[in-house]
Formats: sequence, C-alpha cells, structure tokens
Amino acid sequence: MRVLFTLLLVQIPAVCAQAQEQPCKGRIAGKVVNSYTRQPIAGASVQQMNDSSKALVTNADGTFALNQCERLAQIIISKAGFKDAVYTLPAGEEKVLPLIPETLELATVTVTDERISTGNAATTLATVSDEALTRKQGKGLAEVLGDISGVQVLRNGATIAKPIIQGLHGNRILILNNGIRQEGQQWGLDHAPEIDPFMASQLTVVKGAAAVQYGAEAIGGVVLVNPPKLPTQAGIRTMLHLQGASNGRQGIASGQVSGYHSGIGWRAQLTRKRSGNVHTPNYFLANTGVSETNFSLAAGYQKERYGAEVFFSRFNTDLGIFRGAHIGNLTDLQFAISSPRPVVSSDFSYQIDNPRQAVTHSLLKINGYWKKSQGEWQWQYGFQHNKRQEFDIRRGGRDNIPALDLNLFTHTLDAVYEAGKGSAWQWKAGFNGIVQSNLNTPGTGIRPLVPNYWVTAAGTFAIWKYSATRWDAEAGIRYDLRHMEVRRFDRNNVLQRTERLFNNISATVGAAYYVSEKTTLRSQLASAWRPPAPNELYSEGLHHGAAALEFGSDSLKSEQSWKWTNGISLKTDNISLEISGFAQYIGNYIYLAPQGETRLTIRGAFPVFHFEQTNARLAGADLTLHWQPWAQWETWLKGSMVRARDLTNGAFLPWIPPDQASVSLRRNLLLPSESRWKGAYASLSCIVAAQQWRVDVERDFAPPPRGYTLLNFDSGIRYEHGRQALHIGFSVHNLTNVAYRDYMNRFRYFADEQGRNFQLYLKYTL
Amino acid sequence: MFNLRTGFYALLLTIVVLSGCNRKDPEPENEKEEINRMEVVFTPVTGGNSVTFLFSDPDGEGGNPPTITAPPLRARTTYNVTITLSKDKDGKREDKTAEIRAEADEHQFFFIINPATLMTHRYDDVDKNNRPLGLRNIVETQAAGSGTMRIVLRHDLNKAFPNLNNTNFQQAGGETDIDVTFPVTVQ
Repeated sequence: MRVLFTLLLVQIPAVCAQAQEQPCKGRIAGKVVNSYTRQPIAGASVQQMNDSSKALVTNADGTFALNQCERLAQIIISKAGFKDAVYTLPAGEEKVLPLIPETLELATVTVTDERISTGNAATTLATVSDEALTRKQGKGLAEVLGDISGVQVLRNGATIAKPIIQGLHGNRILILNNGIRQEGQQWGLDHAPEIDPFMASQLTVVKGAAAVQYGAEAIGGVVLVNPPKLPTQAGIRTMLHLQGASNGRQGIASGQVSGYHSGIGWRAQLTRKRSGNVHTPNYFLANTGVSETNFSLAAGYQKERYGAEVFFSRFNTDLGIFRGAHIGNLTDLQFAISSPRPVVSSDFSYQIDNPRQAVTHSLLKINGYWKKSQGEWQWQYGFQHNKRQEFDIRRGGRDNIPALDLNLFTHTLDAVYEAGKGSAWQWKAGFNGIVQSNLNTPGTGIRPLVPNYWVTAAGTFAIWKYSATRWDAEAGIRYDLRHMEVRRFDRNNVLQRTERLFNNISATVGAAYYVSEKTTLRSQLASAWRPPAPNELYSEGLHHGAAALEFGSDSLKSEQSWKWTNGISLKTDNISLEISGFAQYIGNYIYLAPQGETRLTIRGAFPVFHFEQTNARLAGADLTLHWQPWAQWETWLKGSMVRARDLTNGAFLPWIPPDQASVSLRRNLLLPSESRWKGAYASLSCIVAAQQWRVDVERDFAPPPRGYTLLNFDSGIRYEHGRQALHIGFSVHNLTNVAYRDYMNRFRYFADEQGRNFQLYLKYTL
Repeated sequence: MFNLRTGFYALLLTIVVLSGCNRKDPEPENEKEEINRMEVVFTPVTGGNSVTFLFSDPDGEGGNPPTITAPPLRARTTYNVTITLSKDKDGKREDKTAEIRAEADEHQFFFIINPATLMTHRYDDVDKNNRPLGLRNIVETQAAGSGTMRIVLRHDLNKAFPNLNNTNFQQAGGETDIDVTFPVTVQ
C-alpha cells in the first residue's frame, strides 16, 4: 500500500483501512516515542484514519488508548517537529510506536505493524530533548545544542557562542533555519548564529557530512532548526515562556499564538530578552549585557495534494563585548594573560557600551509542494538580509560610527522531486541556487575586514535509497558550481576586481543494518567541500582582538573532506545506548599559520599569521547512555572526544574541544495519576572537562587552562488542567560556584567563566 | 532521469545570467583615526637647536617596516618635549594631535626611560580634570650614556587610578594606541 505524506502538515492520506465489521473487541493502545532518543512523546495527536472524531493526544508518558470495535485500526500520529507516521495496529496489544524527527532527508515514514522503519538509515542524528530545549532556550542556539554529546560550544566571553560539531565550527558546519541555509557572516569566530531558539520546536544535529543534500560547507555536520507545524484544526493555541536568571539578572519573555481559520493555519511568535553584566565567582565582567528582540510570522494553506506556506522571521540583537578583552597590542594581551583577574573592574549594569555588536537578520521563506501519483515536487524560495554593525572604542567622537558595517543579501531557491515514497526504491533529485551580495556600507573610516563580493552558485543532486527487511542502503551524488566576484581596494587604494570559479563533486554512500528490533548499525561515507571564506582570502592587516597581523591569500583552493561516520544504537525497555565514531580527512584544510616573525607597527610589534592550507585528520567518538532501572530513577552518561592532526606539519590543530563527559542522575516523583500535578523530577548532573593538552604551546599566547568539574541542578513539575498546562522549572548552573576557564572560550586569556546561576522558567500552554 | 549535460548547461546559464547583475564598485575608506607618524621634538629650554625623534610608517600596519630616527641629545640639558601625531597618506599630512588634545581626559602618554638614570621626565600639560596628558613635557638629561625611551599612548584608561605612573599604567585599564621605543644617545 502506498501512503503519501507531506513534510509540512497533518493531512489525511488517501488510504482506506481494511476495516472489517466485527463485534467490539476492546482497545487499541500504544506508546509514542522519539525514534532516536526513545524518549516518550507527550502531546502527539493520534487520529484514526477514516474517523477524525476519534482524535486524541498522547499522555505525558507517550501512551494513548482508543476504544473501538475493529480488529485492526489504522492511525496517523503527528507531532510538531516529527514526521507523520501511519501504523496499523491490532486491537488488544500495546505497541511502542516511534516517531522520526523531521529532517529534510530522503527517508520517509511509512510504517506498518510489521516493519518499523528507522528512517534515514545512514545518518547519525541527535535531537535536543523537549526538556533540555525548554531549560536552555534562553541561553541561545549554541548552548542548547551543547546538550547533545558530540556538540560543543565555542564562546567569545559570555555573550557570543557558536556550535561545534565533532570538532568543527563556523564555515565548516551548516545551519538550516526552517529549511533555509543560514547565511550570516559565519566566518567570524565572534559571530554567533542569528537564530532565536524560542522559534524552534525541534533542534536536530546531523553528525555526518551531509553535503549532497545541503551543499557546500556541511563538512562537520548540519544543524536543523525547525519551527512547529502550522495547525490544521480550528482553535487558537497559545504558548508563553517566562524565564529569569540570577546571573546577569536576565529576563526573557516569549510568546507564541497559532490558529487555523478557513483552510489557513497561522502562527505568530515574539521573544524579548534582556540581560546585564554577568558575574564570575569573583568579579563582574564589564559590558556583557545583551538585548534581543525577535519575532516570526507564518501562514500556510494546505491541501492533500498541494499547499504553500509563507514564513518571515527577524532576529535583532545588541550585545556587549567584555571590555577586559579589548586590547591594543601584544603587550596588552600578555599583561591580561598574566593578571589573575581583569584590570577593568565593573559593577552590575544593563548598559551596553562599545565594543558592541548590533546584528539584524531577516528571513523570508515561501515554500510549497505538489503531489502527483508518482511523486512529489517541493520547492522553496528564501530571502535573507543579514546586517552586522560592530562598534569599537574610537577617537574623535566616532564611537557611534560602526567600525564594521556589513550587509549580506542572500536569495536561495531549492526545488526537489521525490518519488517512490513508501516503496523499496526511493529517489529524489533536486536543484539549489543561491545569489548573494556582500556590501560594506561606506563611511566607517576603517578598511573593510572583508571586501564587497557577489556569489552566484548552483548545485544539483540525486539520492537513491533502497529499503529491505533488515537493512537500508543509500547513495547520492551532487555537483556544485560557484562563481565569486570580488571588488576591493588594495593597500595602495587601487581598485582590484577578481573573479573565482569553484566547482565540486560530492558523493555519499551509506547503510543501516537492523541487527534486531533493539539494535541498529549505521555507516556512512560522505564527501563535502567548502570554498575559502572571504576573510581567509582577503584579510590584510591587524586583527585587533587577536593581537595578530593576519594575511589572506586569494589563491586558496576549496577544502575537500571525506568523513566516515559509524553508529550503533541499542534500545531496550530501560536502556538506550547510542555510540557514534567518526574519522575524517580534510584536504586543503585552511588555517592560520604562524610565520615566526613579528612586524613593528606604531602600536608595537605583532606576530604575523598567514592563511595557509594543509591536510588534516580528525577522528573521535560520542556516546550517550540512558538507563532507567526503575520508573523513579534515571541516569544519563554522555561523553565525547576528538583527535585532530595537521598531517603536513605534524602538529595539532588549534580550537579542538578537549575530552568531555557528563553524568546525570534524575529522580522522578511518582504522583497519583488523578493529580493535576504531573512529571515532577529533580536531577543533578556533573560535567567533567579535561585539559586540552593536545596543543602546540608555541602556537598559542597562553597554555590551555586546566580541566574542570561542574555541578548543575535541575528540577521541574507540570500542572495540567484541561487543555492548559503550566511547566515550572528551577535550575542551578555551576552549583559549587567554581572558578574555571574553558579552552573553547576565546576570552579564556582574560577572565573566568560565569559563576553560579539560578534560573527559573515557566512555560504555559493553552 | 534528466540529461546531465543539459543540467550542467542550465546551471552555467543561470550563473552567467545572474552574475551579470548590476554591481557597483566600492568606495575607498578614509582611515581617519590612523596615526602613522609621530614626531617628538626636544627643544632646549635655554635655546639652541632642537632635536626631533621620528617614527614614520606611511604604509600602515603590516606593510614595510617603519622608519625610526633618534638623533643624540646633549647631556645635562633641560628640554621642552612636544609630541606631534599625524597621518601621512598620498603625499598629504593630516594632523591627529588635536584629536588627542580634545579627548585629553581619555588619553595619557607614558614615558618609560631605560636606564632610569639616563634622564628624568615630567608632564607639562593637564586635561580638564587636572590630570597629566603628555603632549607637552619637560625632560632633563643626565650624564652621557645610551638607552631607550619607550612612549606609550593609552586610550580609555582610568586616569583616577591611584599613583598612576609609567610602571603601573596597564593596571588602569584601557588599551594601547601607540607603543614606540626610540634608541637614545646622550652625549
């Protein structure tokens, strides 16, 4: 039987259940779980096919039960952030029904009681749990993702964080914001992704090179940020978040309203965030406030065979950069490193002074689908405008003139044709186009860090998948062509026009083998590439924050990577184990090579670095173990390690996260089932980060900081009354208020990490 | 399946068409804050020829090495020392000293003399809060000898820092705008 699905919404497939009239036998029951994490999914809608009157929602433990008269019932389960799934269930049995997190991969979800498919075979995916999402949304996208083993965070003090997937970050990972490639100024180590985590109902990390589907830059992995699905049933739904944190005296309010009216589903969302100077255990960090205002609007019209959706979001942040990390020359940097605490002292303040960043990111997306009997067309158009202004401490009353003023305009067009859903052979083919212009606003009075450039790129790909009873196999190929034109002034103020053409073939092959119902093995070999970033090509001069003279080279070639990812997952009733290992080779790896010379300037002498290429190897493993020996007790063990080598020079690569492990123990309080209070828990977790000793000390300004151990506490409870639910959470980060520095924080030269932080969060849904 | 070659030409055509869009040339930036020339003029209080120390780096940070000249000073002489900052670009010279003077309360020069016995330094100007600035100074050379004079200009420092002097200025915060060391000969 062929069942068609849409990636976008709940719909009623043109399928008839083979129901037979029989006397009432009893009940159809099941438990809905996340297919990757095996966590129960609460609030998923369960609808009987042919009979929409029998619709209900899963309980907190993912279970549901339908009273009905037929021997078999065909049900459709849907939940925002997951693919719809259809199951044919026999009466009288209670089955575990996995839902697959929604991603853009080829995999579809045609599931019967006979064969439970696990979706995209080869790819190793990890999803942030609902609970961690609620708890960490207020800390920004990178910090939320940091909850996944194998994902770490590259920080620039307290206000800027970027995700690292299996050792790689920045232009080497790709973020898909609601299906659109996020195009900001990702090359900057101090440029955080411009995405509001409160917009997302699901965050997924693809830990493989997924360049065939997503195009350039997906070398380390892909982050998928997906908003909830638009409603398809009448009624207004409301969600409200209120959060407060003691450190930085942070307050966040975020609300979301969605509804459905005469065929059109809609949603509006608004987030406001304000925080002031954060505190380490011993001192305040001057100028570390953040002010953020974000909103998004969406509307969609959906029919069974066709539909379209419009989405608009705007992210707006104004953030301070720790004053003590602003240095003028190498002597200043060395003095800061030798000082046990920053010389710039501060009290609490919400004020955001220079140096600061003001960033606005707007995204408009229009997408649609059209299903035919043989297959389905999907297309999407995206327009993004990224405006970045960086304000520095300047002379002559120029503090209000940005030192960097960049506008990046990106148009993307994606079209995909997908066929064979639900059958053994599936394939999809697609086209991606991108037109981009990066324009410096004149008048900064400072030579632009990156030049004006125009990119036109197009790619086309095809992926095939074959599903058998015990295994799935997948292969794909892609061709990319990218043209870049640059116009800039050289040192002598002579206009230079350069054009570069990059082209590349990427390929992927992978398979999953279902050893048993409990055990799955996955393996994937995938290639990926990325063109050199504008700063790697055209940097020319002093990088103030880094106290270095950096020089790009416009003869750099594209990076070319091969990544082999292997995973094993084991799921029993009370244990779930996920281990993934990877080995990666990156040819033409671009890095800042120290030249062993210093050059004298009016600010003193600075070391000289050139962007050069080498060949690099990365390998590592991540582990997540969840064990629930009794209903009341749960424990998690997570760990990750990465090893990275510069093969040509026999050296270590810088900015590779040290080994890290965490253990958490959680006590669930069993409340009487008739109580309106549900899901009470308290948990204690311990994070241990080792010292990164795999570094070349002479290539860094200071030795890596010592390892550290952090204790975090978290607790929560839920009150349910009819359709209303109130989640109350309380957590403490850095419970013991330990003073430490993290190797992956670029401000580790200057100051300690944040001290103890009490957090209270409320989430109300109606 | 579609024809691969057709697909390739379609891609190429798209790129050619789109890359022909109207593109404007950028405008050059006038780096108004840049300082690439510092003159330190030593004029004997009792009259006589003045001596000029010069740091000049017209192609800016990271280009060709700067020119540093420091003619000898006379022993046991009191000099009025004035600092002039400017920017040389395309044969033109723009004065930058006035910008420092206008923001005197956010700036201060520090003079680190090594060995300290070579000469003594004291400030001869103040900002609006009566705190030293260092565009005008008085230097007294001692016995003949040689050493160095390092001149540091700090910006956005805490000028109220207790006993702020040429050894502890880094603790007053702020950042370095200028850090130049001249070789000094006293004869």
